[in-house]
Amino acid sequence: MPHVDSCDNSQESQPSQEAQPSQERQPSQEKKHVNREKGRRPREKGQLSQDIQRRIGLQLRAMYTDVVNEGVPDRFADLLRRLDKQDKQ
Amino acid sequence: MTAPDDVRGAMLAAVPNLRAFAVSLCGDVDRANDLVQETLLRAWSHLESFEPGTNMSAWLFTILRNHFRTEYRKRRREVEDVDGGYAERLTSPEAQTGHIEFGELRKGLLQLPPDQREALILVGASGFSYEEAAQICDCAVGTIKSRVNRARAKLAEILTIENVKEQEQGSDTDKDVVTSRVA
Repeated sequence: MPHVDSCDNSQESQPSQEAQPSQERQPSQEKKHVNREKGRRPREKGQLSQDIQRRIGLQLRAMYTDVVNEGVPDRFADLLRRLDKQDKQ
Repeated sequence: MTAPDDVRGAMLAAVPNLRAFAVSLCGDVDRANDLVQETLLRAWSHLESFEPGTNMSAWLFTILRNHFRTEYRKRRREVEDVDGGYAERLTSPEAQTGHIEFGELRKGLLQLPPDQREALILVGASGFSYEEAAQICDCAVGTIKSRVNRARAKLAEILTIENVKEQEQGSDTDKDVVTSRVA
């Protein structure tokens, strides 16, 4: 099997980002800040995040398609041709 | 083992997508091309482990992904040992493909943990199903789903912060901090 190095999940246990110790240490201060942020312009914030999500999705695909559209660079076609020739000899 | 012509054809056909995946993963075209080359070489020398009739593209993605992960860990150690030059070069838009309009997104992608980055690209751009992505990343479907969600949220956060910084140039934010401290 070529995947000599399978995904090493042991190193990647992700603690939930909401449970940062720094936030837990000062709960009252943090809460005040969050409430204030929420109270300011909740609708615009939700809207903004939705817009951003859509933009990210579109941009991600556009960026990806951009590379796909470059097709197969010669070096890869040559490489496979060379490998094929080698094997057939 | 001699590769049948259709196998070579299938590998060739997968190259554009492999390159796009590699560029999105590492943010650097030269390095992406090297990743693809190494992937094709490895695949060729392990053709016996490819099951005919299964998805050639997914098989190649798996090889590329695993190779990237190994390289990433190696490079990260080197960067930590030597200096931050490499990481700095990676995040500068000029070092990337010249698609400046995507600079912000590329920069954001590179700030994501690699497991979230690959999940988002596989599902959000390569068009793999959650099940296929889970197979490529050798993890559970639920894990892929949560990685994609976290990646989306984090990327939105990064890009929003960048936007706010640009628009407000710090003036409003500074005031906010002061007033919240007083209150």
